[in-house]
Amino acid sequence: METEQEVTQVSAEMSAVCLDMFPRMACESGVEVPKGRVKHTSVLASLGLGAEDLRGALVMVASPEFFRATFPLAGSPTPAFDGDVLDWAGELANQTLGRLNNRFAALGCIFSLGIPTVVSGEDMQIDISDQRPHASLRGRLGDHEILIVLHIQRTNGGPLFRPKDLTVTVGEGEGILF
Amino acid sequence: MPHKILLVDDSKTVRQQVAVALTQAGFSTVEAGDGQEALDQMAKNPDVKMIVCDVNMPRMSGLEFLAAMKQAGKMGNPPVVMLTTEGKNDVIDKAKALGVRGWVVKPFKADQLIAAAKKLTGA
Repeated sequence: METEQEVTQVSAEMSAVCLDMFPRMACESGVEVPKGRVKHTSVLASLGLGAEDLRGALVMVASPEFFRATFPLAGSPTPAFDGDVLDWAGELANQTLGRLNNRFAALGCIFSLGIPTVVSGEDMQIDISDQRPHASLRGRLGDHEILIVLHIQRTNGGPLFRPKDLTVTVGEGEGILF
Repeated sequence: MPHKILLVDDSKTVRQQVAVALTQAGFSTVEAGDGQEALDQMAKNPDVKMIVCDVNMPRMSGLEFLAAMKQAGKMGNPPVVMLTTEGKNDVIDKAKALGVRGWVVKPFKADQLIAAAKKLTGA
Protein backbone atom coordinates (compact mmCIF):
# COMPACT_ATOMS: atom_id res chain seq x y z
CA MET A 1 0.00 0.00 0.00
CA GLU A 2 1.79 3.05 -1.24
CA THR A 3 -1.07 5.50 -1.26
CA GLU A 4 -3.82 6.58 1.09
CA GLN A 5 -6.30 5.36 -1.53
CA GLU A 6 -4.86 1.82 -1.35
CA VAL A 7 -5.00 1.85 2.47
CA THR A 8 -8.65 2.92 2.25
CA GLN A 9 -9.45 0.20 -0.28
CA VAL A 10 -7.71 -2.49 1.77
CA SER A 11 -9.52 -1.30 4.91
CA ALA A 12 -12.85 -1.51 3.09
CA GLU A 13 -12.08 -5.07 1.97
CA MET A 14 -11.10 -6.02 5.53
CA SER A 15 -14.36 -4.61 6.88
CA ALA A 16 -16.37 -6.48 4.25
CA VAL A 17 -14.63 -9.76 5.09
CA CYS A 18 -15.16 -9.30 8.83
CA LEU A 19 -18.84 -8.49 8.34
CA ASP A 20 -19.21 -11.57 6.12
CA MET A 21 -17.72 -13.71 8.86
CA PHE A 22 -19.44 -12.01 11.80
CA PRO A 23 -22.53 -10.10 10.64
CA ARG A 24 -23.18 -8.78 14.16
CA MET A 25 -19.67 -7.39 14.59
CA ALA A 26 -19.24 -3.61 14.84
CA CYS A 27 -16.14 -2.64 12.85
CA GLU A 28 -14.04 0.49 13.02
CA SER A 29 -11.33 0.97 10.41
CA GLY A 30 -8.13 2.98 10.67
CA VAL A 31 -7.74 2.51 14.40
CA GLU A 32 -4.45 3.21 16.11
CA VAL A 33 -2.38 0.09 16.63
CA PRO A 34 -1.28 0.03 20.27
CA LYS A 35 2.38 -0.10 21.11
CA GLY A 36 3.88 -1.85 24.07
CA ARG A 37 2.55 -4.15 26.74
CA VAL A 38 -0.89 -5.71 26.64
CA LYS A 39 -2.09 -6.01 30.22
CA HIS A 40 -4.60 -8.80 29.88
CA THR A 41 -4.17 -12.30 28.56
CA SER A 42 -4.10 -12.13 24.80
CA VAL A 43 -3.95 -14.46 21.86
CA LEU A 44 -2.03 -13.30 18.82
CA ALA A 45 -2.38 -15.08 15.48
CA SER A 46 -0.27 -14.09 12.51
CA LEU A 47 0.01 -15.29 8.96
CA GLY A 48 2.50 -14.23 6.32
CA LEU A 49 1.73 -13.64 2.66
CA GLY A 50 3.96 -13.34 -0.32
CA ALA A 51 4.51 -13.39 -4.05
CA GLU A 52 7.47 -12.65 -6.29
CA ASP A 53 7.10 -8.89 -5.75
CA LEU A 54 4.78 -8.78 -2.79
CA ARG A 55 5.12 -9.29 0.95
CA GLY A 56 3.07 -8.75 4.05
CA ALA A 57 1.34 -10.28 7.04
CA LEU A 58 -1.98 -10.37 8.81
CA VAL A 59 -1.99 -10.09 12.60
CA MET A 60 -4.97 -10.63 14.90
CA VAL A 61 -4.96 -9.86 18.62
CA ALA A 62 -7.87 -10.67 20.93
CA SER A 63 -8.66 -12.13 24.30
CA PRO A 64 -9.17 -15.90 24.55
CA GLU A 65 -12.83 -15.09 25.28
CA PHE A 66 -13.25 -13.63 21.79
CA PHE A 67 -12.13 -16.90 20.23
CA ARG A 68 -14.25 -18.95 22.64
CA ALA A 69 -17.27 -16.80 21.74
CA THR A 70 -16.74 -17.33 18.00
CA PHE A 71 -15.87 -21.04 18.15
CA PRO A 72 -17.72 -22.56 15.19
CA LEU A 73 -18.80 -26.00 16.40
CA ALA A 74 -22.56 -25.68 16.71
CA GLY A 75 -24.02 -27.55 19.63
CA SER A 76 -20.66 -28.23 21.22
CA PRO A 77 -19.41 -26.58 24.40
CA THR A 78 -16.96 -23.73 24.03
CA PRO A 79 -13.44 -25.10 23.99
CA ALA A 80 -12.21 -26.02 27.41
CA PHE A 81 -8.60 -26.38 26.40
CA ASP A 82 -6.26 -23.57 25.49
CA GLY A 83 -5.03 -25.63 22.56
CA ASP A 84 -8.48 -25.52 20.97
CA VAL A 85 -8.62 -21.74 21.37
CA LEU A 86 -5.20 -21.34 19.78
CA ASP A 87 -6.12 -23.70 16.94
CA TRP A 88 -9.28 -21.72 16.20
CA ALA A 89 -7.36 -18.43 16.40
CA GLY A 90 -4.95 -19.70 13.74
CA GLU A 91 -7.77 -20.97 11.55
CA LEU A 92 -9.66 -17.68 11.90
CA ALA A 93 -6.55 -15.80 10.73
CA ASN A 94 -6.23 -18.29 7.88
CA GLN A 95 -9.86 -17.90 6.81
CA THR A 96 -9.71 -14.11 7.08
CA LEU A 97 -6.57 -13.80 4.96
CA GLY A 98 -7.91 -16.48 2.60
CA ARG A 99 -11.03 -14.42 1.97
CA LEU A 100 -8.93 -11.29 1.48
CA ASN A 101 -6.71 -13.27 -0.90
CA ASN A 102 -9.70 -14.17 -3.08
CA ARG A 103 -11.04 -10.61 -3.02
CA PHE A 104 -7.63 -9.13 -3.81
CA ALA A 105 -7.10 -11.61 -6.66
CA ALA A 106 -10.26 -10.25 -8.27
CA LEU A 107 -8.64 -6.77 -8.09
CA GLY A 108 -5.29 -7.83 -9.54
CA CYS A 109 -3.29 -8.54 -6.38
CA ILE A 110 -2.28 -12.18 -6.20
CA PHE A 111 -0.36 -13.82 -3.37
CA SER A 112 0.11 -17.08 -1.49
CA LEU A 113 -0.59 -17.66 2.17
CA GLY A 114 1.77 -19.00 4.79
CA ILE A 115 0.97 -21.16 7.79
CA PRO A 116 -0.59 -19.51 10.87
CA THR A 117 1.52 -18.90 13.96
CA VAL A 118 -0.29 -18.40 17.26
CA VAL A 119 1.05 -17.28 20.63
CA SER A 120 -0.70 -16.41 23.86
CA GLY A 121 0.33 -15.05 27.22
CA GLU A 122 -0.08 -12.40 29.87
CA ASP A 123 1.66 -9.04 29.73
CA MET A 124 2.92 -9.68 26.22
CA GLN A 125 4.97 -7.02 24.52
CA ILE A 126 3.29 -6.51 21.17
CA ASP A 127 4.76 -4.11 18.67
CA ILE A 128 3.33 -4.36 15.19
CA SER A 129 2.87 -0.64 14.70
CA ASP A 130 6.12 -0.21 12.75
CA GLN A 131 4.98 -2.51 9.95
CA ARG A 132 3.98 0.36 7.69
CA PRO A 133 1.97 0.94 5.69
CA HIS A 134 -0.82 -1.07 7.24
CA ALA A 135 -4.58 -1.18 7.36
CA SER A 136 -6.16 -1.74 10.75
CA LEU A 137 -9.58 -2.64 12.04
CA ARG A 138 -11.10 -3.08 15.47
CA GLY A 139 -14.10 -5.37 15.69
CA ARG A 140 -16.45 -5.54 18.64
CA LEU A 141 -18.70 -8.53 19.18
CA GLY A 142 -20.69 -8.11 22.37
CA ASP A 143 -18.16 -7.63 25.15
CA HIS A 144 -15.29 -8.93 23.07
CA GLU A 145 -12.86 -7.03 20.85
CA ILE A 146 -10.43 -8.05 18.16
CA LEU A 147 -7.72 -5.99 16.50
CA ILE A 148 -6.79 -6.96 12.94
CA VAL A 149 -3.80 -5.43 11.17
CA LEU A 150 -2.80 -6.11 7.57
CA HIS A 151 0.54 -5.05 6.17
CA ILE A 152 0.91 -5.62 2.44
CA GLN A 153 3.08 -3.94 -0.17
CA ARG A 154 4.90 -4.45 -3.45
CA THR A 155 8.61 -4.86 -2.90
CA ASN A 156 9.21 -2.73 -5.99
CA GLY A 157 6.96 0.06 -4.72
CA GLY A 158 4.43 -0.44 -7.51
CA PRO A 159 0.66 -0.23 -7.19
CA LEU A 160 -0.93 -2.94 -5.07
CA PHE A 161 -3.83 -3.62 -7.43
CA ARG A 162 -2.98 -4.29 -11.07
CA PRO A 163 -6.02 -4.81 -13.31
CA LYS A 164 -3.91 -6.67 -15.90
CA ASP A 165 -3.36 -9.43 -13.29
CA LEU A 166 -7.06 -10.08 -12.68
CA THR A 167 -7.80 -13.72 -11.99
CA VAL A 168 -10.99 -15.74 -11.64
CA THR A 169 -11.84 -17.23 -8.28
CA VAL A 170 -14.35 -19.62 -6.79
CA GLY A 171 -16.39 -17.69 -4.22
CA GLU A 172 -16.50 -18.18 -0.48
CA GLY A 173 -18.73 -21.07 0.53
CA GLU A 174 -19.02 -22.27 -3.07
CA GLY A 175 -18.22 -25.76 -4.23
CA ILE A 176 -17.74 -27.46 -7.58
CA LEU A 177 -17.29 -31.04 -8.70
CA PHE A 178 -15.19 -31.83 -11.77
CA MET B 1 -20.69 -50.35 7.33
CA PRO B 2 -20.59 -46.56 6.84
CA HIS B 3 -18.30 -45.25 4.15
CA LYS B 4 -15.02 -44.00 5.64
CA ILE B 5 -13.73 -40.52 4.75
CA LEU B 6 -10.23 -39.22 5.48
CA LEU B 7 -10.15 -35.58 6.67
CA VAL B 8 -6.85 -33.76 6.15
CA ASP B 9 -6.49 -30.30 7.68
CA ASP B 10 -3.94 -28.75 10.04
CA SER B 11 -6.77 -27.18 12.05
CA LYS B 12 -8.33 -29.55 14.58
CA THR B 13 -11.34 -27.22 14.71
CA VAL B 14 -12.00 -27.65 10.98
CA ARG B 15 -11.51 -31.43 11.19
CA GLN B 16 -14.05 -31.54 14.02
CA GLN B 17 -16.52 -29.38 12.08
CA VAL B 18 -16.31 -31.60 9.02
CA ALA B 19 -16.34 -34.81 11.08
CA VAL B 20 -19.53 -33.76 12.90
CA ALA B 21 -21.27 -32.95 9.61
CA LEU B 22 -20.23 -36.15 7.85
CA THR B 23 -20.85 -38.42 10.85
CA GLN B 24 -24.38 -37.04 11.21
CA ALA B 25 -24.89 -37.88 7.53
CA GLY B 26 -23.92 -41.50 8.14
CA PHE B 27 -20.23 -41.51 7.21
CA SER B 28 -17.31 -42.47 9.44
CA THR B 29 -14.10 -40.43 9.48
CA VAL B 30 -10.40 -40.69 10.16
CA GLU B 31 -8.16 -37.63 10.46
CA ALA B 32 -4.73 -36.35 9.52
CA GLY B 33 -3.07 -33.01 10.36
CA ASP B 34 -0.96 -32.71 7.20
CA GLY B 35 -0.14 -34.46 3.94
CA GLN B 36 2.42 -36.81 5.47
CA GLU B 37 -0.03 -37.96 8.14
CA ALA B 38 -2.58 -38.42 5.37
CA LEU B 39 -0.24 -40.77 3.51
CA ASP B 40 0.22 -42.73 6.75
CA GLN B 41 -3.55 -42.90 7.29
CA MET B 42 -4.06 -44.11 3.71
CA ALA B 43 -1.61 -46.95 4.38
CA LYS B 44 -3.46 -47.88 7.59
CA ASN B 45 -6.97 -47.45 6.17
CA PRO B 46 -7.21 -49.03 2.70
CA ASP B 47 -11.03 -48.87 2.99
CA VAL B 48 -11.12 -45.03 2.78
CA LYS B 49 -13.76 -44.12 0.18
CA MET B 50 -13.06 -40.40 -0.13
CA ILE B 51 -10.56 -37.76 1.02
CA VAL B 52 -11.35 -34.17 2.06
CA CYS B 53 -8.10 -32.20 2.01
CA ASP B 54 -6.86 -28.67 2.82
CA VAL B 55 -4.26 -26.93 0.60
CA ASN B 56 -2.04 -24.89 2.94
CA MET B 57 -0.60 -27.15 5.62
CA PRO B 58 2.79 -27.46 7.33
CA ARG B 59 5.28 -30.25 6.49
CA MET B 60 3.41 -31.53 3.42
CA SER B 61 0.81 -29.35 1.67
CA GLY B 62 -2.37 -30.58 0.05
CA LEU B 63 -0.93 -30.27 -3.46
CA GLU B 64 2.23 -32.15 -2.40
CA PHE B 65 0.00 -34.87 -0.94
CA LEU B 66 -1.89 -35.10 -4.24
CA ALA B 67 1.39 -35.37 -6.14
CA ALA B 68 2.56 -38.17 -3.83
CA MET B 69 -0.75 -39.99 -4.31
CA LYS B 70 -0.50 -39.58 -8.06
CA GLN B 71 3.07 -40.88 -8.08
CA ALA B 72 1.85 -43.91 -6.12
CA GLY B 73 -0.88 -44.45 -8.73
CA LYS B 74 -3.63 -43.81 -6.19
CA MET B 75 -5.17 -40.58 -7.48
CA GLY B 76 -8.82 -40.93 -8.45
CA ASN B 77 -9.46 -43.84 -6.14
CA PRO B 78 -10.47 -42.76 -3.58
CA PRO B 79 -11.71 -39.42 -4.95
CA VAL B 80 -10.30 -36.23 -3.39
CA VAL B 81 -12.25 -33.04 -2.65
CA MET B 82 -10.25 -29.99 -1.59
CA LEU B 83 -11.65 -27.89 1.28
CA THR B 84 -9.67 -24.67 1.51
CA THR B 85 -9.72 -20.88 1.75
CA GLU B 86 -7.94 -20.88 -1.62
CA GLY B 87 -10.25 -20.07 -4.53
CA LYS B 88 -7.95 -18.88 -7.31
CA ASN B 89 -8.26 -20.68 -10.61
CA ASP B 90 -4.54 -21.23 -11.13
CA VAL B 91 -4.34 -23.29 -7.92
CA ILE B 92 -7.55 -25.14 -8.79
CA ASP B 93 -6.14 -25.94 -12.24
CA LYS B 94 -2.98 -27.42 -10.67
CA ALA B 95 -5.11 -29.63 -8.43
CA LYS B 96 -7.35 -30.65 -11.32
CA ALA B 97 -4.27 -31.70 -13.26
CA LEU B 98 -3.38 -33.94 -10.33
CA GLY B 99 -6.82 -35.59 -10.48
CA VAL B 100 -8.86 -33.77 -7.83
CA ARG B 101 -12.62 -34.35 -8.18
CA GLY B 102 -14.01 -31.37 -6.28
CA TRP B 103 -13.27 -27.98 -4.73
CA VAL B 104 -15.03 -26.32 -1.79
CA VAL B 105 -14.05 -22.88 -0.51
CA LYS B 106 -14.20 -22.33 3.27
CA PRO B 107 -16.30 -21.63 5.18
CA PHE B 108 -18.02 -24.77 3.96
CA LYS B 109 -21.73 -25.46 3.90
CA ALA B 110 -22.38 -28.87 5.46
CA ASP B 111 -25.16 -29.74 2.98
CA GLN B 112 -22.85 -29.07 0.05
CA LEU B 113 -20.05 -31.25 1.41
CA ILE B 114 -22.44 -34.07 2.31
CA ALA B 115 -23.98 -33.96 -1.18
CA ALA B 116 -20.50 -34.21 -2.71
CA ALA B 117 -19.60 -37.09 -0.39
CA LYS B 118 -22.76 -39.00 -1.29
CA LYS B 119 -22.21 -38.49 -4.98
CA LEU B 120 -18.53 -39.43 -4.99
CA THR B 121 -18.84 -42.44 -2.67
CA GLY B 122 -22.14 -43.72 -4.05
CA ALA B 123 -23.60 -43.72 -0.53
